[in-house]
Amino acid sequence: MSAIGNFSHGAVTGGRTNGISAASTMWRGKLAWPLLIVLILFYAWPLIQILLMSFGAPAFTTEAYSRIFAVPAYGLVMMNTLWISAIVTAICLVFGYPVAFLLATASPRLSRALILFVVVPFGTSLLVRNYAWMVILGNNGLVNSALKSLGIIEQPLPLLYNTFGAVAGMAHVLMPYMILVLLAAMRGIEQSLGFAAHSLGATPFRAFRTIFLPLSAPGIVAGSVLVFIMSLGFFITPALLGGRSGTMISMVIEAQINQLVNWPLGAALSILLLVVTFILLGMGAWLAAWRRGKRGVL
Amino acid sequence: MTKQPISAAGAKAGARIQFERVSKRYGQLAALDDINLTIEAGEFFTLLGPSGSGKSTLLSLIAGFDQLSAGAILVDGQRADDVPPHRRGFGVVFQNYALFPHLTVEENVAYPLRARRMSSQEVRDRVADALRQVRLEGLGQRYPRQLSGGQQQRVAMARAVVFRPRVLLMDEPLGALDRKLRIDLQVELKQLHRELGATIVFVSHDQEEALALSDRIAVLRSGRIEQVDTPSGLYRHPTTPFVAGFIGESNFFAGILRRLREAAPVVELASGIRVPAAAGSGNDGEAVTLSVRPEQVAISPVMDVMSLAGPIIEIIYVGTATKLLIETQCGRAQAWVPAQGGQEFQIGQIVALRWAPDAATLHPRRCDER
Amino acid sequence: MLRLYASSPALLIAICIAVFIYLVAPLAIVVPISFSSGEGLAFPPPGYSLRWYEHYWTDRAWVDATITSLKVGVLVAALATALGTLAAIGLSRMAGRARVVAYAFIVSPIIVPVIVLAVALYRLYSPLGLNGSIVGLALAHTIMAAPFVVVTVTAALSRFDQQLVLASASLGETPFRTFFKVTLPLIRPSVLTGGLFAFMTSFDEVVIALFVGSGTVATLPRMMWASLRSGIDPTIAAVSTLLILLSVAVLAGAETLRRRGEGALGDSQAAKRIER
Repeated sequence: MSAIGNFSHGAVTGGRTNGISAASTMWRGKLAWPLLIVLILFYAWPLIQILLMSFGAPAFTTEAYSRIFAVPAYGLVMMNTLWISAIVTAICLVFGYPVAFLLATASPRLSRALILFVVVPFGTSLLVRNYAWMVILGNNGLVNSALKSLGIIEQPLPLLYNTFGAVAGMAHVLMPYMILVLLAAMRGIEQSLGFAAHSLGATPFRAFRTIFLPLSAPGIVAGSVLVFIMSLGFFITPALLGGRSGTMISMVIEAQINQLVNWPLGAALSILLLVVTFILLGMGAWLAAWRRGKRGVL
Repeated sequence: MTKQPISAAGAKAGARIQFERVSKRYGQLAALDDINLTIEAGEFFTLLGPSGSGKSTLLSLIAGFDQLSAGAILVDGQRADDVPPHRRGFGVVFQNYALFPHLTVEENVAYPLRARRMSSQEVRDRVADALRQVRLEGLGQRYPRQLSGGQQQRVAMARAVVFRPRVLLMDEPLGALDRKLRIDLQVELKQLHRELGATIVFVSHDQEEALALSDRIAVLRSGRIEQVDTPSGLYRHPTTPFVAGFIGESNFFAGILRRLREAAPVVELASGIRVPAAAGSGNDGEAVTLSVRPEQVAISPVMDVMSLAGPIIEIIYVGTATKLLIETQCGRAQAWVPAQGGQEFQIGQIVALRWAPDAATLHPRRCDER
Repeated sequence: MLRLYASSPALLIAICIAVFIYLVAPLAIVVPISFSSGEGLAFPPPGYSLRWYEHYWTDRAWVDATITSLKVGVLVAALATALGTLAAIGLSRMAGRARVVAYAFIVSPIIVPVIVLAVALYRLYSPLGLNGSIVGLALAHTIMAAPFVVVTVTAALSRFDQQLVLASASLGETPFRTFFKVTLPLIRPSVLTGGLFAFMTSFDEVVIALFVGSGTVATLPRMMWASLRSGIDPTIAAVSTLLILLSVAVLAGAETLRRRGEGALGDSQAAKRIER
């Protein structure tokens, strides 16, 4: 079927075919403008305003930024944020990978049934899930009550209002993202490769280590970057479950704006958060491109 | 369903299409280069060529799906290229039919009539007529995905002709079908043409199909027209080696033309072999490529050491003829012997090849050709 | 295929079961608590009753918050679906680089930390008086919800046979009517799915609602947040259970739409391929 082609396959391809076609578009891309205008007015422009404010607009001063770097508290919170995000990402990866692996390699029917365990929590309200964790981890909550009644402990364990609580809650929210991204990458791995390795004498573990794992690497990178970036900006979960030690940068921003009404500082912190986010995104994209270049298109 | 005699139909129903210096470029690439062509009203005209020759591009331009880079397209004398496609009123049949999957067969066929705001009654009548014409009555309520490929093809045709267009554009409409079905539909297509009287512009890469269906054919290659002629004209008198090779099959021999004063002109091939050339050929010493059709080549026992000859290396029986592949002194050649000939052949048998002088065509030979 | 890579899947399966429990248990716990007759968060609950549901239905504040969330949600669904669908179609007609940049721009609100967005919009809205207005909140949510619509519709368009648009033009239909008679009907399931996700994104959204929806515009998530911060009111459990039901319904709806969408678009192509 060469003389006629289908036009435009997907978001980023053009439209030229070697058959009857409408290579020059019949309508322009003007249809996208309403949304783009809304985005520019209510998204890009406010963000630019924040940027300007961080430099003390209408004046120009780097006071806010120097304050951030001078006062150790902010640096500590940022470190804490990065640390918590790293832990959450690691947990999601270590525990999410086996689940994704199971979903990718199981039979289609089993896979479709099991994926509900991932998708239903994914689609449930954030507050509902955080509330549930408060119930589970509280001093009189599920875990402590169960441990007490089993006689393992006498005093309740402090599982809530600290880093542990924040991590537990955030991992719960972000695990589905990691699993779904890994699953998508794994589904792209050809079945026949495993059979080939087998026929060549590889043990299952060797086949996994040398074939499946490397081929799933792009998914690992993409999932990790996504989860890390999302945990950086988390507000609700650490605010509810994190208490003092689980303080993250977003909470500091909120405090500056809402309670202290210190706009330049809040704005500066926001910009810093944004910058870190984009740096990570860039690193992830660079890593993906480097891998693709190294191995050719996988 | 109205049957009209061809001449009257041609005068009223078909439109005349002219291409004046038409070009289409994509960046540096010229898909079509300076096309000049006139398609007469009511003709069945085929654009024939290999992939990438520009034939589908030309069809897109007529339909209005694409813009010209240069030149003009005139329909019945009026410029058509500044009219948007939905106002040109040409019927188009796509290779993969482009039937609307969410509409029934009837709704598909009724689509152009509703777009023209016809009354419901007339729409119903015309759709019923059209379905009867393509022998799909009773299937009106089905959806395209419930039909076979051949049936879908017929719905596509019915939809394209139900509003009686003056021009029908077809982009390899039979390409996705198997051979037997394709031949049946070719016959129906010819009948349809006679009944409609419209001008049909047909795109194909299959030269057999083109020869069977067309009044005239334009052979395209790399965006240019190689030759425009009737089927028999193209077959018997191809003007370039490309056309000779693309239409039907040909043997090609490189050689030098020799005109000796009193004798008939001959072409001197490699190894000094001489073969006759037609009377009106060119000048002495000209480098030429000689093309001759396999069915024009006669096989005989070798009688003269200077004749074109060699062992048979392959015998292929195709029912109506026997195809022989012979390794001659000047390369491989094909000869087709009719089944009734009664001759028996064996691999390895040495035979001589002969043909009538005017059965071969001579083409000037350029360095880049064989 | 599992066996190819794991000779003894016991450990793997154990881990997976643990993760599944981890993911689902919280939801499973909330439901019984909503039926608790007790006042606290004790689990298992002392007794069962519907008092918390009653409390939810009868408390003015909760009901108003729910209605506000519904209003905003519907508005966002409509806006995001309309703008997003048009944008997806516009994007499919754009040339290479412009298309990539526009696409990245449209999807970026998902990556940007919500707190930054909330702060920025709060600042923008103050002089405009849009803080505390339904329209202001809806616009903000639309920005976050539109990416879902654009991604879903873009995927549908990539499966859509553009030749159908050409066919419609050749048959005499104007581009405007072609959109409504040919394109839209065939991408409708994806459009509706996008709309559903847009609604849910808005309905669940907390952070922006906290900043932009001050005072008068109290959405349901805002009320839940306040309630969670001040004390543990089991009414939240009742609301949560209802929200879980809503989520499951939406997911089921989306799946149904997906199946129907594939039927309409995919089958005609598949049938042709099966044929000769």
